[in-house]
Amino acid sequence: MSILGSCTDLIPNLVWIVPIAGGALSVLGARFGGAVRNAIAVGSGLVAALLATSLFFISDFSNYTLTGKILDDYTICGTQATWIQALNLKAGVLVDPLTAVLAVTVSWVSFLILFYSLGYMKGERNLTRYYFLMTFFIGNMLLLVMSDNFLQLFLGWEGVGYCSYALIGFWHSDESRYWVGTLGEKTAGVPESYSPSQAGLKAFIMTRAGDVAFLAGILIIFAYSGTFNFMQLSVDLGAKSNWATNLMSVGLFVPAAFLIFGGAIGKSAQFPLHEWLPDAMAGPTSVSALIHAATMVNAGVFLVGTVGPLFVQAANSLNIVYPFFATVAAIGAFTALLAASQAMVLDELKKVLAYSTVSQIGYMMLGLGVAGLSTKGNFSFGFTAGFFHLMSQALFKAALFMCAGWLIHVTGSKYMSEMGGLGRSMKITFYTMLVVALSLSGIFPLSGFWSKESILSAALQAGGISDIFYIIGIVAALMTAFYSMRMIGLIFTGDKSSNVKALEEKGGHIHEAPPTMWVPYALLAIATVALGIIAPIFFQQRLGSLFSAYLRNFGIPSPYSFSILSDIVPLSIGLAVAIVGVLIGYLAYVRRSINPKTVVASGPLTLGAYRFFHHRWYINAFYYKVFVYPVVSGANWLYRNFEEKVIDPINIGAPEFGGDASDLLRKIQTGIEEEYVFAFAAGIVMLIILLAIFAHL
Amino acid sequence: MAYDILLQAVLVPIALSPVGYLAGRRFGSRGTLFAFAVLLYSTILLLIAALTANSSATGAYAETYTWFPFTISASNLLGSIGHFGLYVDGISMPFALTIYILCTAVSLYSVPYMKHRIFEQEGVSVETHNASSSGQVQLLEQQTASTERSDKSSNETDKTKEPNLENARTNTRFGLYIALLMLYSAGMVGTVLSTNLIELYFFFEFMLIPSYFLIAEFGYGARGRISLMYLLWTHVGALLMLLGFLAIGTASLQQSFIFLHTPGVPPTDVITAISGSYLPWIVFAIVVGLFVKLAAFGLHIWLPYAHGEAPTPISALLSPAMIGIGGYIIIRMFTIILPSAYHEVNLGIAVWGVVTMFYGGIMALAQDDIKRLLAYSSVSQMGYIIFGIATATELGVGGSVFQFVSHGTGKAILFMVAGLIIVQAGGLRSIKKMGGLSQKLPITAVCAAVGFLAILGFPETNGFQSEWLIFGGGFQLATAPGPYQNYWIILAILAVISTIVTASYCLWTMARVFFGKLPSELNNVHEGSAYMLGPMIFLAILTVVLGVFPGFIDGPLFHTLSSMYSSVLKALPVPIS
Repeated sequence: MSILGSCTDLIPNLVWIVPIAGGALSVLGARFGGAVRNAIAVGSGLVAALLATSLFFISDFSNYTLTGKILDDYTICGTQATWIQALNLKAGVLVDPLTAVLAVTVSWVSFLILFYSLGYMKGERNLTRYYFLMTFFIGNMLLLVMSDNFLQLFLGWEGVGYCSYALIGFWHSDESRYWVGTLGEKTAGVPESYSPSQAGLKAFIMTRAGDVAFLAGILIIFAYSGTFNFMQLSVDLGAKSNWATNLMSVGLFVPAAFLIFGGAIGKSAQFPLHEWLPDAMAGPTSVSALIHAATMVNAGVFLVGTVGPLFVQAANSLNIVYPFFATVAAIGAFTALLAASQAMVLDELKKVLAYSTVSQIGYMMLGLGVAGLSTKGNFSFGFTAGFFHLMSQALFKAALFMCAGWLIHVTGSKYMSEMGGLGRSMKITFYTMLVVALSLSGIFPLSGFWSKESILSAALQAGGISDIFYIIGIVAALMTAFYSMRMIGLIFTGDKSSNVKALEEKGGHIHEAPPTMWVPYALLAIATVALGIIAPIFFQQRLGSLFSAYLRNFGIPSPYSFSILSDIVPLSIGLAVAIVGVLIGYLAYVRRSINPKTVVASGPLTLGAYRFFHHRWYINAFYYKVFVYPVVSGANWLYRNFEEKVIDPINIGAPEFGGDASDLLRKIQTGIEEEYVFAFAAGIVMLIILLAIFAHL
Repeated sequence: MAYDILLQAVLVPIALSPVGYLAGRRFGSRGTLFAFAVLLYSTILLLIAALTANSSATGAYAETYTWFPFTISASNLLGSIGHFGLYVDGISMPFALTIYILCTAVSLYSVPYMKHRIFEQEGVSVETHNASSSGQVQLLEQQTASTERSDKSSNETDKTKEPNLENARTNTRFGLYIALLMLYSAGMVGTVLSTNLIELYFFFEFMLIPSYFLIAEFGYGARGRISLMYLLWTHVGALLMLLGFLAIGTASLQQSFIFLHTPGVPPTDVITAISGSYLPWIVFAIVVGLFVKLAAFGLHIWLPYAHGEAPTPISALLSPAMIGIGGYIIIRMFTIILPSAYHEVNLGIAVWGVVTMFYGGIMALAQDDIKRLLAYSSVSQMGYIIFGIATATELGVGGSVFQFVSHGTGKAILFMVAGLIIVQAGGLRSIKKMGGLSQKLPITAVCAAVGFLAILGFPETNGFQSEWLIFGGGFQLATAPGPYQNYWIILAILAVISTIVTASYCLWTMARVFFGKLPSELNNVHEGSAYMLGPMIFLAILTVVLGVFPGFIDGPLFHTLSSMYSSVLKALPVPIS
C-alpha cells in the first residue's frame, strides 16, 4: 500500500509549516502588490492540501501497530524533535488514521475557502492582515491536528482561537453594518446585537473558560505521567502501576477526563459554552465558513476522538469511563436539540447557519459518546459515524456559508426576509444551496444522510440510556430538515422582498456570483453528492476499517462492518423524519400553503416556544446577568468601596497619625520659662522618688 | 575570571552615571543614547557571563571580591559579613538579563518620551522650541512624531546659536534623568547578582533611591507625595527584610551572610542553627518585607500610584523589572536555604498569591486610566509569581522565574504602548476617550496585542510557557497525596480560573483602546518614531521567540533548580506511592 516507502519526517511537518510560512511570506509579498500576496496565501493553502493528501500514500495504515515501536520507528509517523530539553519534552507530529482524515478534510476545505476569499474579499481594506490570519489559522489548525502531544496541541488550539478572535473582529472599526444581531433587540434587558470586536472578545473569553479546564486536565495527567506525549501515555499504560491507576487511586482520573472535555465544549461551542458561536458571525462570511463551520469548531470533536480511546485503554474497562462518554453523548444530544430549535425561528441567515453548526457538532459528540456507551466491540460504529459526520458537515456547511456570503453581498442584507425570490436570478447558487441544504436535512442519497443516520443508528445500537439520546436526535433531525427547507424557501422562492425590489429600482441587479466564488461552493456541493453516492458502496466501510485499526491500538478490538440491510430500520426512520421535516418546510415556505405566522400565533404554547427559542432559551441573557454585568459592576464597587475606602486610607492615615502626634507633642513646647522650670523641678522630684523606691527595694 | 565581567556589568553604569549627566547637559534628549550604549555594553557582558555559566558543568559563574579588608574577630558581626560576590546561575540569569535588556530598550525609548515629558514640565512649548530653531510650527500632539527631525534641528541650534536659557534648563533635566536611569538599572541587576545578604540589602536600597528621584522629578500628578509614599512603603519593607537577614546571619551556624549554596552541592538548611522560637518571626519579617515589593494583596497600595504616575519609561521598568525581584529573593532565601521553615508557611503564601491574582485582575477591570490599569495588572501578575514560589516544586518555582521574564517583556511592551499614546495623543490616558486607535497606530496595535497575549498566558508567547509551569507545580501538589491536598486542589483550580479574569481585562482593554470608532479628537494621531517603535518591536519578537523556544531559559533554569531540590521536592512526575 505504501507508495513512497517508509515514512519521512519532512512531509508531515511541512503540512503545518507551509501555511504558517505562507502567511508570513504573504505579508512580505504584499510589498509587491495584492496579487502576489493572494497568490502566496492561496498557493500555500493548496500545497498544504496536497501534502496532507500525500499522508495517505506515505503511510501504511492497513496494518500498523503501536506497541513496541514507539518514538523512533512508528510505522505510521511519529517523528520528534527536542523542544524543551530541560523537562524532557519533545515536539513532534503524529500521523495516524484520525489525524490523516482530519488533515485532509481541513486542508482541502481551507483551500477552497481561501480561493473563495479572492472573490469575496475583493476590494476590502487590510487584506494583508486577512490573508495572514487565514493562513496562520490553517497552519495552527493543522498543527493542532498533527501534534503528538498535549502541550503542542494546546499551542495550535490557542493559535486557532486567537485567529478566530482576530478574524471575527476583522472589521474592528465596528461600523453598524458589520454588527451581528438586530440593533435594539433585547432579551430581558440584555442587548442581542454585537459589534465585531465585542463578538471576538466574547468568543475568546468564552472558549477560554473551556481552555482553562482543558489545561487543568492535561496538567493533572502530566503531574502523574511526566509526559504530554499521546503515544508515550498509551505505552506507559503497559506497566502495572501507571499514571492512570495512580490517578484512579486518588479519584482524579474521571475528573481529569471531564476537565479535558471542557476544552472540547468551549472550542466546539457545545452547551453550556455554545453562546459565542452565533455572535461570531460578525466576522466576514469566508471566516465563518472556514473557522466557525468547517474546521476550528470541529477541534473539540477531534480532541474527544484523540483522548476518548486513550481513556478507554487507561481505564481498561468501559464502566469506569462510562460517566465520561455518557456526558459527551448527553451534551451532544442536548446541544443538537437546543441549537436546532433556535435555528428554526431566526431571520438572520448566518445565525441560522451558526446554530445549525452548533447542532451538527452536537450530533458528532453524540456519535463519539455512544461509541463509549456501547460495548467495546461496537466502539468503532459511533466513532466512525462521528467523524464521518464531521467530514460531511465540513463539506455542506462550508458550502452553505459561502452561498450565504454571496447572498448577503448581493442583496445587501443579512436577513432572509429581505431576500426572497432569488432562485431565478442565480441558478448555480440556488441549486448548490438546495443540494447542500438537503444534505444537511439528511435526504437520501446525500452524504449528510449517511453520516447522520449512522450516528443515530449507533445510538440505537448502544441501547440503554442511548435510547433517550436517539429520540432527542430524531427530534432535532426533524427540526434540521424543517429549518433547512425554510431557509431555501425564504431566500429563493416566493415574491421578491421590498428590499430586493428597492435595490432593483435603484438600478442594482441581482445576478449570479463570479466564478471565483461559485466554483468553490459548487465543487463542495458536487463533493457532498459524490460522497453520498460512494458512502454506501465502499467509503463508509473503508473509513470504518481505518478507525477500527486506530482503535485496535488502544486495546479496543472493534471490527467495523457496514451494510444497508442490517441498518434498514433506523435508516428508513431517519429518512422518513427528514422527509416530514422537509415537507413541512416546503408547505410553509415554498408552497406557502401554511402560514407560519398564524401557526405561531395559534396558541400560548406555540407563541411561548417561539419566544423562548427566539431569545436563545434565555441562556445568553442569563450569562450576561450572572457573569458579565455583576463582575464589571462588582469590580467597580470593590474599587470604590474597598480599595479606595479601606486600603487606600492607610496612605493617608499613617502620615496623618504622625501629624496628629506631632501636633500633640508640640504643645509641650510652650516657650514659657516658668513652665519649663516647673517641669524640670517636677522631674527631679520624680527621679528622687523613683530612686528611693528602687533603693528601698 | 580575569576581566571581572560581572563587576563591570554592575559598576560601569554606576561609575559612568556622572558622564551620563554631562551627556544630557550637552546633547539634551539624545544624550540618553549614552545610557543606551553603556547599558548595551553591560548587557553584553552579562550575556557573556551567562554563556560562561551555561558551558560550565555546575551551570554557574561567580566572581568574589574582598569586601571588608579588616577582620575584627570571628564572632564579630562585621568580621563575618563575608565577601562581595556576584553570581550567575540558572535562576539569577533570567532575572538579570531581563532587567538589563529592558533597561537598554527603555533607554532608547526614553529619547522621545522624556523629550515630551521634560518639555511639558518645563513649560517649554514645543512650538516655540521648534519655531526658534527651524521655523516650523507644529502642534503639541504632532511634535514627537517627527522626533528625529526636531532633534536634528535642536542640535543645530546648539551648534550654531548661543545655547539659550531654556535649552540649558531642559538639558540639565535630561542629564539628571540619564544619570538616575543608569544608577537605577545597575541597582536592580546588582540585587539579583548578590551573594551576600548585606550586599543584597545594599543593592536593594540602591535601586530604590534613584527610582524615588525619577518619580519625584519626572512623574505626573501629585508626584512629590506619591514618590514619598513609594519610598516609605518599600523602604519599610526593606527594613523588615533587613531585620530578618540580620537574624539569619547572626544566628546561623556559619555566622555568615553568604547565602548562596555551593554549586552542585545541595544546600544545608540553616534552620538547625536558629532557635525555633525565632524562626516564625524571621520568616514573617522577610516575607512581609518582600511582599511589599511584590505588591501582594494588602501591601499593594503604593504600586498603582507609583507605577501610574511615574514617567512611562520608568513605569516600564518599575512594573516589569523591579517588583518581581522580591520573588527572586524569596526563591533564594526560602526554597533553598530555609526549606523546612518555608514548608510551614507556603500554603498561606499560596492563598495570598491567589487572592492577589484575583484582586489585581478585578481592580484592573475597574480602571479607566490605562497606566493604572496596567499597574493593577502587575499586582495580579505578581500573584502568579507568588503562587508559583509557594508551590515550592521545581515546576512551580521555575514557572515563577519564567513568569518574571514573560511579565517583564509583556508589561514593558504595554507600558511603552501606553507611553506612546500619551506622547502621540497629547497626554491622553483615559481609556474612555480612546477607541479605534489601531487605524492610526497599526504597529503599536500589533505590539499591544502581543503584550496583552503574553500577559494572559497565550501559547506562542512566553506568557504561556511560564503559566503552565506555575500551574503544573500547583497541580503537582493538588494531585499528590498530602495533608493539604484538598486545599491545593482548590487553590490550583482557582489559580487557573484567574486567567479568565486576566483574559477579560486584557482583551477588553485592547478592544476599548484600539478597536471601535475613532473619536474625532484623535484624528491627528500618528504612529510614533523609530525610537519608540524599535524597542517595542524588539520586545514583541522576543516574546514570541521565547514562547516557541522556551529552552533558552528553561535549560539553565531547570539545570540549576534540579541541583537545588532534594528528590522529594522534585516531583516530576509526582512521586507515586
